Amino acid sequence: MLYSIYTTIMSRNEKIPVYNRIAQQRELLGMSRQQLAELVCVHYQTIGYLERGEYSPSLVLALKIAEVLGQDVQSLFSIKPFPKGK
Amino acid sequence: MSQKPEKKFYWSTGITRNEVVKSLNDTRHSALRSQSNRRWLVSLTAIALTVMAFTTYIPHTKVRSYLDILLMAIVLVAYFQLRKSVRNVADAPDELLDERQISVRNVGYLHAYRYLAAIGLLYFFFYYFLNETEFLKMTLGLESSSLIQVFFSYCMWGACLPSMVLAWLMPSENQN
Repeated sequence: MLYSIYTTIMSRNEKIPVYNRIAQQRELLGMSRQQLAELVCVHYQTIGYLERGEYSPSLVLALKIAEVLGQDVQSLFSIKPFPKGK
Repeated sequence: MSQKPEKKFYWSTGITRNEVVKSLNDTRHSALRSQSNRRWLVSLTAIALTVMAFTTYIPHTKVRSYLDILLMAIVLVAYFQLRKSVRNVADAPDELLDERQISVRNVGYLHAYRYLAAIGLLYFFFYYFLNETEFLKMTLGLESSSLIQVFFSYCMWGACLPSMVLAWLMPSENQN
C-alpha cells in the first residue's frame, strides 16, 4: 500500500503516464546523465527516473530539459507512447 | 546571488550542508544502498524502539539498566545509518534537493507523521489508560520514573520515522 502511494506521487498521476525521449536525445548529443543533470540542476538519479518514466517532471523541469536538448517540449514529452524508430 | 557558506548547519534537522552534498554525490558502493539491507535496518530500529518502551516491565533492575543502555546505543547507531542510507534526503532542506527528491521527502514526512500519531496513541493507551485500571496497575506495577524510557523511545521514533519510511520505500540504487 505504501509503495503504491509512493509511485503515485512519483509519477504525479499514475493513470496518465508521461512518455519521453530524453534518453534518445541525450545519447544523440553524446551527453551523459551526469552532464544533463548538471545542466538542468537536478541529481543524476533524477535523470534516470525520468528516462525510465518513473517520475514525471514539473513543467519548469520539462522546459529546462527541452531547452538543453534543443527540442520542443512536445517532441520530448507526450502522454501517448512515441512511435517506435522515430 | 550570494553563495551560502559550506559549513551551514540546519538546526531543525541537525544536519550540515556539507553532509548532505557529500552524501548526495557519493558514488561509492555501500551495503545500505540495497532495499533489502535498508529494510533490515528499519526492522531492527523498529524492534529496538518498541522494546525500549517496554523495558520497564523487566523485574531485574540490573538487567533492565544494561538493556536500556544497549538499546539506546543500537537506536543511536541505527538513526545515523538510516540517515546515511537515504542519502540524508529525509533531513535535507529544499535548497539542497531537486524537485523529485523534495516530493520523495515529503511523502516520507506525510507517512512518518501518521505513524508517529498512531504510535503516540498506542503508548498513551497502554501507559495511561490501561495503567489507570486497578488490575493492570497491580500486574504491571508501572512507576512514573520509568516513563523516561517511553519518552525517549517516542522522541527517537519522531527522529527516525522520516528516514525509516524512505529507507523502506526507496528502491535499490543498483536498479537506477
